[in-house]
Amino acid sequence: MIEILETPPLNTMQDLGRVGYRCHGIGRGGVMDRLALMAGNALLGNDEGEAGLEFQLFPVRLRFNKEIAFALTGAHCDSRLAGRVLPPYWATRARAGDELALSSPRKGMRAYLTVAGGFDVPEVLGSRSTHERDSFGGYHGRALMPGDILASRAHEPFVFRDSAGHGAAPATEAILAARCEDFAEGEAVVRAIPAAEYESFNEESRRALWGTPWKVTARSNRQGYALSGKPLRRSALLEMRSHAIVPGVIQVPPSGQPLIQLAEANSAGGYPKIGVVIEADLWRLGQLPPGSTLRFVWCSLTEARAAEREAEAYLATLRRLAGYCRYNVK
Amino acid sequence: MFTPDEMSLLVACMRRNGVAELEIEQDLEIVRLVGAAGVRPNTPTSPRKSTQTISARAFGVLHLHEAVGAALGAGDIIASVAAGPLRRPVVSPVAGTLIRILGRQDQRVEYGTPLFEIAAP
Repeated sequence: MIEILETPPLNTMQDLGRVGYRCHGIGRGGVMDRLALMAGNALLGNDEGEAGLEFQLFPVRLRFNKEIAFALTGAHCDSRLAGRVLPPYWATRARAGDELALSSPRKGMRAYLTVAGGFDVPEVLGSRSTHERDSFGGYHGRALMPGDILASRAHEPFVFRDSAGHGAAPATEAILAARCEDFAEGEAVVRAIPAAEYESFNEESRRALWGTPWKVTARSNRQGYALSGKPLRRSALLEMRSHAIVPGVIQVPPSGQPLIQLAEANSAGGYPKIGVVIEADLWRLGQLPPGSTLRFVWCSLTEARAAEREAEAYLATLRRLAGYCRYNVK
Repeated sequence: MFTPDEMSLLVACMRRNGVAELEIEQDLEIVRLVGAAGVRPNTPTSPRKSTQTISARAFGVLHLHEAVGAALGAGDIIASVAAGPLRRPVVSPVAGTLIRILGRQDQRVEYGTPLFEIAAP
């Protein structure tokens, strides 16, 4: 049992999201940083898609009311278990009564707490993700509040080979970001492929997409990020009907300032699409706080698939090696 | 049949448990690991009783988490040793002050490589 002692609003339980319900107007949802959630589950030997708590606002404090193994991945917070500093991307065992405190991240934006066995909440439409707008899924269909008590499901009990637990190389260190020739220090780089209406933008705008920096504005959240930069214009204006959209799509509303649709993206939208951030780089966006600067790099489908395989290899190796560092106990 | 990372975990496990020789047979492949003579799995202690040397307990790449002068409690994680993406902890067995860092960031260390000196409070 875990008791939430302190949390700002907007921290929710999320898994890898709901797949297959977009035709009913229900988007995918799920975590903003899939790699962090899956790395936490790999360290604990859970199924890769077990739900975790996504913390995007801090400080957070919680108490473990019974002994339990947990992992903390994602953003690098100053995290302390019973007063002791925990390294980033770390799994260990809490004793009954231990408090875990997380302060605002030094690096990244969202931290994930996973527990051995996963959280004991019902699946709704095949997922434990919280759908906040429609109030279902996750923990009672809402964001976490102080006083909430979360239980874990039963699992094969284990001990860590090292009593202090073990950790993972953070995804940002294990999987190098794409580079663009002229990016400045501190700029994040994500890969994108051109989308259906790409050719309808004028040449200057197409060049600006790849060649200029984009600022993540404060109007950015789990639904999407609003960017600011050089306005993008189309050569001819066309009326468009609403059509299906996916997380990662870069839309351009009449203002010319692009929007990237993310985890809580609506299932359909009508703005023209200039590009799509590849699935394998979406987790990097999830760790970008407002105020960050972003660059897009052109990417082929082959490169996008190679990037996916690289992430899969990181998780598979982590899972296998972590398995050698846990012993099952009867 | 084993990656280098897996092999190093096996070797670390053998050393920790005092296993001198291990043979693993799988399909047609046989791997035989024999402990080198003269490797002693105990932590060297410096002559001054008030300082203690912490050594690596695993083979891999060192990541330092603390700087000289850090006040440590018994059980605090002061570094980690990585085999591939997995990081295993280096823990201070005593409370005290970190007075010397003997290992370097990203150094490849082995079981027994001295890493830190800690002075008792």
